[in-house]
Amino acid sequence: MAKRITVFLLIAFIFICNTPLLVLGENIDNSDENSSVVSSDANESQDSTDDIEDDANGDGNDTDNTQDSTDNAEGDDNDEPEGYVSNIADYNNTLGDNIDSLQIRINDIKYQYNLDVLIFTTNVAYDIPTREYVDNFYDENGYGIGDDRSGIILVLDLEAGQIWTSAKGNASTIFNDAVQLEMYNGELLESFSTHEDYYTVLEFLNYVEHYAHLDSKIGTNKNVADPDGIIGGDIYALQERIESIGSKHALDFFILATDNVNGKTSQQYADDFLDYMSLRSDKDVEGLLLLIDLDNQNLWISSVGKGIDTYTDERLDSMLDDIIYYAADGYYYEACESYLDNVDHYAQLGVPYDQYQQDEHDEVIYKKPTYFEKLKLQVTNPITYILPVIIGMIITLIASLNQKGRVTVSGATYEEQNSFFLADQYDTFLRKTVTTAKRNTSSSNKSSGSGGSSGRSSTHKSSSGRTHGGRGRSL
Amino acid sequence: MSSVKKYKCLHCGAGLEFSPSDQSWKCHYCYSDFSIEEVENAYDEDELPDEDQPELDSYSCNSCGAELIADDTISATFCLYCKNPTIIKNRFSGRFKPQLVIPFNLTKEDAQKIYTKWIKKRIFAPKEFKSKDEVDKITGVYVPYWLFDCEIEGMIEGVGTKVRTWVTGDLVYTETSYYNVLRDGSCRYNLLPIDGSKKLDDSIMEKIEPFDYKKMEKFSLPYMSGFMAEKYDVDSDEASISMKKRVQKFHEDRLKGTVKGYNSFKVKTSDARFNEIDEQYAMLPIYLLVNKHKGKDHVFVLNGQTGKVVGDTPIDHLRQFLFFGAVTLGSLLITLFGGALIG
Repeated sequence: MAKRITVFLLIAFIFICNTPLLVLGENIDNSDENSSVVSSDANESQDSTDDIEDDANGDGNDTDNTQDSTDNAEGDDNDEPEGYVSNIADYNNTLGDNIDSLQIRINDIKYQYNLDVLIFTTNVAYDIPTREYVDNFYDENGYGIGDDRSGIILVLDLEAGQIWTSAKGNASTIFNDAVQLEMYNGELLESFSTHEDYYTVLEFLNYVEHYAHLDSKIGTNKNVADPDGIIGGDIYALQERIESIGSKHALDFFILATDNVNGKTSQQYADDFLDYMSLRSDKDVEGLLLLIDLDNQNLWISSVGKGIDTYTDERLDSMLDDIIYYAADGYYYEACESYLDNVDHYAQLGVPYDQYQQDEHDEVIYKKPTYFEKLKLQVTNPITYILPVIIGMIITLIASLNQKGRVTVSGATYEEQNSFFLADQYDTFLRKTVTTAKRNTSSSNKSSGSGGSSGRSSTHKSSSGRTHGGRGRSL
Repeated sequence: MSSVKKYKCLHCGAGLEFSPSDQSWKCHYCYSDFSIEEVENAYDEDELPDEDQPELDSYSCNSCGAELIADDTISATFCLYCKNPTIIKNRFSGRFKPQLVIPFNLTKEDAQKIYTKWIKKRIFAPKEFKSKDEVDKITGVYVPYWLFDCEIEGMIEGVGTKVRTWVTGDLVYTETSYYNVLRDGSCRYNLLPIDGSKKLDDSIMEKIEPFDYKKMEKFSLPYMSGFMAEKYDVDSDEASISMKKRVQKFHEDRLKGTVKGYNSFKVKTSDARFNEIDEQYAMLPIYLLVNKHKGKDHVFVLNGQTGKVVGDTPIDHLRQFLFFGAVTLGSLLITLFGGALIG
């Protein structure tokens, strides 16, 4: 119960402060501390922040350590721009000797995505909010890239048993609350709880790079991402069309064309991008993504949510048949248009009545739709209407048959017993004809096994654990 | 001798009617009960004459003296004024003298019950067919019938085929052998009924057959008392044409039954001769109800002996459409909600 209250207060706190910060309590006891965080006023916390800074500086050992690592990092990256500072404040000295490699990773990220990363470890039990302290630390030490000082902070509070993250500037768009929560629920919390702090940071950097990379693909158009100018043509027209189709069918459709998928397979990348779309929009995206992957020379369509049901394997294959016709010759804009034509067409048809999901272990997943959903399915099924009309017609026809009565007598009724006498009978053979016909070899007409049922939507799990459907074709 | 006959209770003098449930004559007034012998003995002076009696311009009821309203073929009826059963004896005389009768076995109430049950199943029948007035109009009628005995000699000739198939390798062989088939035979048919009234459609009357001849009696006039009766207006020669058609069909079927071992058989020619045609004039009981609907007669006929029903009713298209709508809607609800339940 107390844990639940903690989580509730944390969420409330996040909304009050209106800054993208998430804290996940490990210790139930923390609830008191956190509530005091909410109640403490600005002046008080400002005062205490100063205290802590003094405390931190007073702890010579820790500071030295940090200084060392900073020096090392500086030595490795001599070509760094001016104003460079070490991004790892390992006050707890918990990250070990590999701290340099972490700094190199951070520098990579900084350079590639214009995004600062601050790693902060502490084991000092402060009675003031660490968040404010770290924020000040970030601001005062000149972290952040660009005018909005874009960056993300990871704090490992070993004393409180908490990890939390905070994003600033543009980074708070990339790493919104949903993305940050996703990180916690992923590997971060797990490796932190087993005190593998180095791996926690490594994992964090992986996440940061993962999402920063995905974010770098998103252009000005929400649903059509063409970062490498592959599609060409009037992207805005595609965007307008995709939006109108999406709102018509209450599904979300995306197109992504890229020549860099960061070493992933087309399927992984398409799934990841769709998952990120869910996180970015802070709602579960239900629909379809077309990935034109020139890195792997593949087309891949990934489906998620209701999109899995509507776009069965058979339909996706048929869509890909159409799309590849254009894409194979490099007409990617036409390929996208063909994709949208198909998307609209099948959304119109709705979920096939015989649709089912089958996961990668060939296990058929009977999702349990609600009665209302089944009713909706039934409403759109033409059989629902055709069958009653046929039944109505048959029953009416039977009821209308004018049973005038039948003749029940035959010759036998009036025939005198034993009076029938066959006087003569001939059976004379006239002629004979013989015809031949080719034998019907019905056994060879059997369909080969791999086709499968038309209603199947095969599914698999993406790296984040979400269920996706999808089909692909190589270009 | 009066040309109009009325049977009166031997005790109180009220009208006597034949009661199908007791197979005797009942006085509705004093509840007396008389057997055929008693009634016949009491009226034994009234042997039906073998000579044709002249048709009179009019007949009058011998109870109340009112003129009987009856068309040319009606031979037994009720007085329109005093409701007493009245028999026009002249129309049972001479060549119109029946030899046989099957007495009614079902009462009017039985007939009404059967009709009510039958019309209930006719869900598309117009409302007026189901009214109480309609049910009351059911009338017991003795229909004039010719019962024919005859012998037929006939033959059929046609082509029969035998088919044999076998497989060799990839080929299926079909061998068809054609045969000329002839059957010639004779048979006797007894008491084949052909109705002798033009008013009644032969095809309907065929459907209420068979009658149970074991209950057939020698004709006696008192049986007519309490029912309508008709005299024939189709004479035996005319009726024998219908009879021959039926018997020839029977015989052809009989001969076809002897053609065995063929995959198909088609009759090309047939021929028939009739010998020893003999007919008897009989009165057979039916209950009749004729409904006029939009200028067309719809007939309900009930075999007064066995209860077999024949009849047709018009279809009320509005009722039919409403029924279709209801069934469709009902099954729509089932396919929709039930389908979603099991889906």
